[in-house]
Amino acid sequence: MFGLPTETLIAVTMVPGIIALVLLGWALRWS
Amino acid sequence: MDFNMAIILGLYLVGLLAIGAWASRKIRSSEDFIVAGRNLGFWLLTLMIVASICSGMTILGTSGLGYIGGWPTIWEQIFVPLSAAFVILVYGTKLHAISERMGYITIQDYLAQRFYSQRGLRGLSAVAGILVSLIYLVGQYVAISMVLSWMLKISYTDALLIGAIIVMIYTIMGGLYAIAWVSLVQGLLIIIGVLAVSPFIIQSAGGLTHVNNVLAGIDPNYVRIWYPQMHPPYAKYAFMTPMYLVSFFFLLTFGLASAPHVINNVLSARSQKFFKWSPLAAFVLYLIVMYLVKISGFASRVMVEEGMIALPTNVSNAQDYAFVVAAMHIFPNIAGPLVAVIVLSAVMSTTDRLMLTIGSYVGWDIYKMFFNKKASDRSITLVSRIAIVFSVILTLILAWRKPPELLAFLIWMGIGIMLATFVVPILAGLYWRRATREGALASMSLGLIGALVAGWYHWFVSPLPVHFSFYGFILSIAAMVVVSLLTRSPPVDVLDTTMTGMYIRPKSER
Repeated sequence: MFGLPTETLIAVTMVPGIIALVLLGWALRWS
Repeated sequence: MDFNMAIILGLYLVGLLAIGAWASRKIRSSEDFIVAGRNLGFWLLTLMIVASICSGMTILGTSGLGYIGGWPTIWEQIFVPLSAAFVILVYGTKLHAISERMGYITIQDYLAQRFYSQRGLRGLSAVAGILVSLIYLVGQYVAISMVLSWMLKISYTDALLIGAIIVMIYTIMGGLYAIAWVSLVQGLLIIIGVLAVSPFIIQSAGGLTHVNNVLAGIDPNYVRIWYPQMHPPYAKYAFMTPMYLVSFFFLLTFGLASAPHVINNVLSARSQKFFKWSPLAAFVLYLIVMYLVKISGFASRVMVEEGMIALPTNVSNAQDYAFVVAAMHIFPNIAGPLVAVIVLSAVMSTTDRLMLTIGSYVGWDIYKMFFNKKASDRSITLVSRIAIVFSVILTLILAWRKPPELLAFLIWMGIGIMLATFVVPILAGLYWRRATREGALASMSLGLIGALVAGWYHWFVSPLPVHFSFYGFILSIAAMVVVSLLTRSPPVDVLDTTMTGMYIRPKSER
């Protein structure tokens, strides 16, 4: 997709996605 | 000389000064001058962090690196937004809580108290902090003169002089007083500008798929996630190997987060509650902007390959001009001023923090601590301003020579010294109760020496497989652990007042 190899596409979307989820988790655990 | 451009630039600067004059009516003392009255709201805090990290180098250097290095360099766009989240979450949450109680103005106030050493820690961190800020300032000057010379069609050195005069006027007119508000405006201008310009650059290069197909045709590794592990790399641009990426992660995520002009922002937040959502907000916002700038760099490479645009030929760092040239090609009439405003905003929002950092190191940490214990507030402010003027002149002389091949290398040099000197003392100070004064002093000085020696080796003897700062970083970790364990434990009351321990949120706040 987008002319990128699958592993590149996964890396450039999933790594930021996981970081964002961790930061979301930090905010939700804050009570 | 292009007079329409000059008029638009003039209007922009007058606008900034007007905001500065309006905001400076709220400032009363030199402490307010530095921490903006400890009154930053949520978006002001988040945008301040983003605007201080986002410098002129970010816009030009990021697209320049993308132009020459392809997708393997995209990690920069993941690690840098992560450093914005890191500084807010890992440093900011606790530092802000301690600072609310103790009234810190700068990060060195914290280090001096946590390591119960006013002179030693302040002196060392002033040396490292001023060195880093000067390197960084040179990068900002190079960025500003690149844009001005391209826009106004004048020579690089003429543009450098004009840029320096603009910065001087801006600083002396009290632009610094209004850093928070000006940063907010600049942060918004950068974000809106990039969101407006980048999609058109990618579109006119033929869209993302076409861009990637052309890149893959030049070098198949341009669309991979890293270059094959070999030393030396098969081409100058292929240095982003898995091994290098490890050092690159520490360099950007930890190093950039520890830069004084970035970390001092967290001391100025109005409320502890902001540290809940601000890490995510800063990360997502900056990630989108950085990805767009980097992909614009890829797109401008394709436009050059297909003969749509040409980069300047008489400069040493042609690829750093990629973003500017591509934008000018697409909107010949409006992009000039727009790009100039984006880059100027990015340069100014970092430059004013850098000037302030140098000024406060020289005034508070060197002059007051070592030369005149009873200095009055006014004389400290005067010394700070003299230091700022001197640093402008010094960096102007340093920037006069040809810029390095990639602006990114110059900035990474500054961040690298940060990584080797400040990261370990701050992290160990916040989270390790056994970290001692002697450990901190050893870790800062050995880290600094290690980074300088490795840097010298890399540039003058033979290239190293990872970023040179990584060697200094490893040395500073080793020095901190070994020396701390060999020396007496820190006083318990110091550890308790500075909330040292393996937790992020202070207990009293929960």
